[in-house]
Amino acid sequence: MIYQNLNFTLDDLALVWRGLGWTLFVWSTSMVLGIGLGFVLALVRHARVPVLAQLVVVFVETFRNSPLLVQLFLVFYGLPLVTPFAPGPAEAAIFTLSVNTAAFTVVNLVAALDALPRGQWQAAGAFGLSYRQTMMYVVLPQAIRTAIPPTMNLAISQLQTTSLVSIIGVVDVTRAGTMLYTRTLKPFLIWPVIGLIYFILAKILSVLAQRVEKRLQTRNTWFQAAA
Amino acid sequence: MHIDFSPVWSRMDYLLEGLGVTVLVSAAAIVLSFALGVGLAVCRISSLRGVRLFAAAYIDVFRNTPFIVQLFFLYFGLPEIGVPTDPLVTGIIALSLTCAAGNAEIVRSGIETVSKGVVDAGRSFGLSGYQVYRHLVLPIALRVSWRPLGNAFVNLVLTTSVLSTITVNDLTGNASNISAETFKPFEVFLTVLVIYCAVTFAVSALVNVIYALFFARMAERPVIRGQAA
Repeated sequence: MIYQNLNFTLDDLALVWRGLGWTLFVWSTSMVLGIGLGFVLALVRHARVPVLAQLVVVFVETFRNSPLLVQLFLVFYGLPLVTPFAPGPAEAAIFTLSVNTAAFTVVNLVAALDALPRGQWQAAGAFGLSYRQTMMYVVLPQAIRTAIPPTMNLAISQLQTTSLVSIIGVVDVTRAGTMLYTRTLKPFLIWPVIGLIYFILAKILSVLAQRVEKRLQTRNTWFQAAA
Repeated sequence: MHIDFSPVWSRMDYLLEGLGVTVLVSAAAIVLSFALGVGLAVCRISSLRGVRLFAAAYIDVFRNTPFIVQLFFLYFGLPEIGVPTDPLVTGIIALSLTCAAGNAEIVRSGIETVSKGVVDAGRSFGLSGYQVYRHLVLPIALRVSWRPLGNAFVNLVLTTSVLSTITVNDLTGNASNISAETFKPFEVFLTVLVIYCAVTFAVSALVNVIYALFFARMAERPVIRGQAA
């Protein structure tokens, strides 16, 4: 006799809840790490550090032009065989997502840095500020403000992308959905519910992002008036 | 640490077979999602309230849920209500539906850059609403939104890799098979990474060529071919 449990129980809810925890954990950790790494790389790229800057460009183009799924497979299945590192599913997921996010962040930030008029640099130079000082006190405060909206959009869209980590075995919301589907065989009910969870998360995040954007705009007026 | 690419080279034909599927799926989905996206964008700013709300809801739902969830819903869920599914066909449909939502937003913002004066001028020359769209608004809007659309197409090509989870034998699917067979995942997926980069560069180049051919020389105010001097 084959035992089959085709009905939903309260434990299933707990499974989805834990999955939600993993989704948010993987997402938030990799966003923080990725944006941080992207910030450093963008500075290296913008300062045109020889060799390193070119390496950053190669890195960015590679990771922006290849599927996250292949990157995940490369890290999760490939790394243990050629390096001493053997990441578990969650580590591989966070590592890959961070690197992927960093690549996109570099593009946003470099664009924001380049968008600043040359006159700012010349004025800072005329005041005798060094490169580092100009960066710290003049350029970055403005460039970061420009880069915040696209970076927030990136983070929101990366939330959808985290669903791919379920394929290498992280028990996130999507994985919980797969597990429930294979047991109860009710895909027509399960997947819309899973989708709804992501939908609500994305909506909450975009409301928060809009608030931040509004505050930025009100704070930015003095700069606009001066310029 | 021992890196050896020879097992990958010897199975290159199998990988390239997968590449063929990826290219086929991408091409089909790009065309479909572009057409659907333009349609949705027009619906999104239609004067009919019902149409507008439908398009807005569609775009909202498809942009805010993960592709893999939509794919599983269509592939595993539809047979439950009696619609048969096929990995390749369902994959192309799911990709088109998803990317259409993104494309619609891009095209819509392009349409919104077209000044009201263009529409008024068209109407005063006696063009119908359809003609104004077809000959005046859409060409200008598409020119503005073509480059962002190109990025969306590149994204679409990368998203095709997810189809390997519903047993489509695309580049990623075949790579997984080879990696399981040869136990050389690092070499296999690194090769595939490079191939994907090549494909997306080709897509970007194609997008630029199309821009140069159709949009670069387009006048700010396009003339209707055969009707204006």
